[in-house]
Amino acid sequence: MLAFLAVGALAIVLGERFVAQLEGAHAAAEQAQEASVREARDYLARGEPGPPDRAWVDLGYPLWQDWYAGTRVARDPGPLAGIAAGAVDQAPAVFRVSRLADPMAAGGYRIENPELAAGAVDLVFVLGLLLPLLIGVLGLHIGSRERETRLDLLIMVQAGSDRAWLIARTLAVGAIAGGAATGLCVAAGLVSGASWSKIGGLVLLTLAYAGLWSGLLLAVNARATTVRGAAFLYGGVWTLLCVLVPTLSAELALGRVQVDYALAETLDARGLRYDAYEQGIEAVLPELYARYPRLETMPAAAADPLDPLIARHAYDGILVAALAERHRVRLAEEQSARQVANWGSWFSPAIALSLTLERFAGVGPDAAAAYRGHLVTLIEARVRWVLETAWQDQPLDAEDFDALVSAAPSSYRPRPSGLQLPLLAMIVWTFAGWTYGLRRLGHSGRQALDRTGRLAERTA
Amino acid sequence: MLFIEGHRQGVPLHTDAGRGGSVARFARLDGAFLLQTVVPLLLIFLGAAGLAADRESGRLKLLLVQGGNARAILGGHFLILWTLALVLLLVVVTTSLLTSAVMGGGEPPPFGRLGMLLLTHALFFAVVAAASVAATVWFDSARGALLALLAGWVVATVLLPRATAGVAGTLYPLPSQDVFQAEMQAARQAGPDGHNPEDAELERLQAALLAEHGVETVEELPMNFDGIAMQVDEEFGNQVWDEHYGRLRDQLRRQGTVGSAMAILNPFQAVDHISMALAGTDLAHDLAFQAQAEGFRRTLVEALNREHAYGGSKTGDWSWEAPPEFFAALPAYEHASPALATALRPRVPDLTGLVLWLAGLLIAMRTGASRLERGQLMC
Repeated sequence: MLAFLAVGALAIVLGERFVAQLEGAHAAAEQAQEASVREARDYLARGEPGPPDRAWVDLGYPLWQDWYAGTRVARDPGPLAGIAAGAVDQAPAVFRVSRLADPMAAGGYRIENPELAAGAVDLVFVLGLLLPLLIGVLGLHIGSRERETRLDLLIMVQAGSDRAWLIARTLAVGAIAGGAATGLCVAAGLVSGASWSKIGGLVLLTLAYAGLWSGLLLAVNARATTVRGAAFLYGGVWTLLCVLVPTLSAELALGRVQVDYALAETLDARGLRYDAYEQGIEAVLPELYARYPRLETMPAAAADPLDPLIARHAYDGILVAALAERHRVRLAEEQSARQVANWGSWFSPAIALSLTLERFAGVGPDAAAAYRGHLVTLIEARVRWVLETAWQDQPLDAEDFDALVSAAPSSYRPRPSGLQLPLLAMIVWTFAGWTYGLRRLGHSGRQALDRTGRLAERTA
Repeated sequence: MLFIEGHRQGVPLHTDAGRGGSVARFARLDGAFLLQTVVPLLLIFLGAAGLAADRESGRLKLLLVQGGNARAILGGHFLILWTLALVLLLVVVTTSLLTSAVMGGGEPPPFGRLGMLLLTHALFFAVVAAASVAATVWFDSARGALLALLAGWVVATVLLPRATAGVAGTLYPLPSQDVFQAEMQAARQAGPDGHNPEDAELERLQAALLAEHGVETVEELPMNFDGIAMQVDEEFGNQVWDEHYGRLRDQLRRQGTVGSAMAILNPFQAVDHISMALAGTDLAHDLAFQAQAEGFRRTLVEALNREHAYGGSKTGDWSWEAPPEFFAALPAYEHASPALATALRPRVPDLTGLVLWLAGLLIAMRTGASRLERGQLMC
C-alpha cells in the first residue's frame, strides 16, 4: 500500500512538472508574440513600413501584417492534464498560425531520450496497471486460504454459506484500494487546481475501475482452490489484460497508420508546394476563383495582368487547400487506428481506463489530433483574410493590424469526447466480473455444502 | 530521419507513435518485448512450479534422503530453465532475422553484434533462471516464491524503467521542443543575415573585400559576394546550433548516467540498454547519427556556397547555374555505425550489473543447496 501511494505521489509530482513545462512554453510564446506585435505597432506609429535594414518589409501589405501578428495558439493543458503526462502526444504546445504554416509538419513538444523511452509514471499508469496489482496483493487469499485450511467448511456449518463473508471481504479490499486511489486522485486534482466536478469525475472513474478489478478478483478467488492457484490465475489475468492485450492493440493500431518517420508526409507537403509554384499564375487563378468566388468580384481581380505582389497570394489559396486535404487523409487514417484502440477497450479494461482518462484530461493522441484540426481551420481562415485583404488592393494601416491581432484566438482547450465507448466497456467488464464471481461462488458453495454433508455423514 | 538543408540543423524526425491512438502509450510487440518481458515471466511461472512440485510431492526430500546432491538437483532445474530460454531466444532471433530478410529489411546485422546480443540475453536468462530457482529454495512455499518473483518482475519491467525516466527527467530536465527552437531562433537572429544585403556585419565584410580587390562595387568583384554572405550566415548558424544542441546532448548524456546507475540494480534495464546499444537504437547511436548527418550537411552547404561564390558567377547574377558535373561530384551521405567496442563502452555498468546479479544469485542457489542438505531449509 505504501509503495502504491509513494509511486502515486511521484506520478503527481511528475504530472505537475509536465504541466509546468507546457506553461513555460506558453509563456515563451506569449512573450515572442507580444514583442512581434509591439515592434509592428512601433513601425506603424512612426509611419515606417518596417525595419530600416529590411527594405522589402512593408506592413501595408497583408503578407507582413500576417507575419508580425504572429498569432500563437497555445494548447491549454487543462486542470487535469498532469494525470496523463505519459501520453504519446505528437502535437506542439504552441503553434504559430500564419498563411504558410503547416501544423502537420510540427513535431511534439517533448524532446525525448530514446534510452529512457520506457513510458512514464503518471496517474493513468498508476491507476490502470498498479491499482489492479494492489487489489490482487490485498485480496488474493480471500476464499482460497479458507479452502486450503478447510475453514470454509467450518463457516458453512456455522453460517450455512460463506458467500456473504467472501463478498464482504472482496468489497472491503476494493474499498481500501479504491480509497487509496481516491486519495491520489483528490491530491492530483487539488495540486493542479481542478474544479471539484472534475475531481469528482476522476474519482468516480477510479472507483469504477477499482470495482471492476474487485469483481475480477472475486471471479478469480471463486475459481481458485489454493492461494497459489489464485496467484497464478490473477497474475495471468493481469498480465493478459494490462500487458499483452494492450501491447497487441498498440501493434494493430500502429499497423493502420503510416509510421515512416514522417517521410512520406514531408515529401508530400514539399512536393505539393513545388508543384503549386511551378504552375503559372494563369493556371492557378481559375482554381483559386473556384475556391474563393468572392475574390473575382473584388478590385484587384479587374487588373490584367494581376499585380505580382497580389498574385503571389494565389498560391497560398492553392496550398492551404492541399493542406486541408492532407489533414483530411491523415485524420481518416488515424480514425481507423483509433477504432482499433476503442475496440481494445472490449478486450482490456486497462485500455478502457487509459482511453477514458487521457480523453478526460485532454492530453494524448486524440487531443493532439483535435488541436491539429483546430489549427488547420485557423490557417484556412487566415489565408482567407490574406486573400480578401490583398484583393481589396488597398494599403493596410494600424487599425487593420490591431483588428487582426485582436481577432486572433488565444488558446485552445480540447473538449473531452469519445468517452462513451470505453466507459461502456468498463461497465460491461465490471458486470461480467461480478456476475461470474457471484455465480462461481454459488457453485463452490454448493460443492462445499456437499463436502460438509459427506463429512457429517462420516462423522455420524 | 533528418532532413538536410541550408540555414538550419535538421530536427530528428521520429516515428509518430501517437498516430496509433491512445494505445501507443503501451509497449510494442517486438522481439525485445518478447525476450525481455514475456520469456522471463514464463521462466518465473515454470521455475516457481518446478522445484515446488518436487518439494510438495515429497520427491525432493526422498532424493536428499537417498543421498542426492542438492546442488546438482538445483543445478538441473536451473539448466532446464536456462536451456528453454535459450531455445526461445534462438526462435525469436531466427524468426526476426528471417522476417527481416523476407520483408527486405536491409543488410543482416554484423556477426559481432548478433553474437553479443545472443550472449547478453543468455546471461540475462541465466539471471532470471537463477532467480527463479533461488526463490523457490529460499521461500518456504511455492506461493511465497511466486509472489516474490512476480512482484520483482512487475517492479523490474513496469515500475523501475518508468521511475528511472521520471527521476532522470527531474534531475536533468530537457526543454520542451517549442522553447528549445524559440531560443535557437532568437540566438540565430542576433547574428548576420545572409539574405539581407543591408546587414551591418555583411556590409563590413563587403567593404573589406572591395578594398582588398581595389574595386568600387560588389559586381566588379571577381567572385559572387552572395555566396560568401551565405557562408558567413551559415557559419554563425553553426555556432548557434553547436551551442544549443551541445547543451541538449550534455543533458541527454547526464540522463543516460541515471539510467546506467539504475541498470546495476535492475538486470531488466541492463539487458534493455545493452540490446539497444547492439541494435543501434540507443542514445549514443542516435547522437552519432546526428553528428555525422550534421557534419555532412555543413560540408555540403559549404561546397554549395563556395561554388556560388567562386564557381564563375558575379554578384547579383541570379541566372547563373552551376554545371551538372559539380552536382554529380558531390558525395552522397554514407552512415558509419560506431564500432562494437565503442557502442559497448558506455554499457560497461550494465554488463557489470548483469554479471554481479548472476554471481549473487548463483551464490544464493549454492548456499540454499547447502542449507537444504543440512535441513536448515524446508525440503
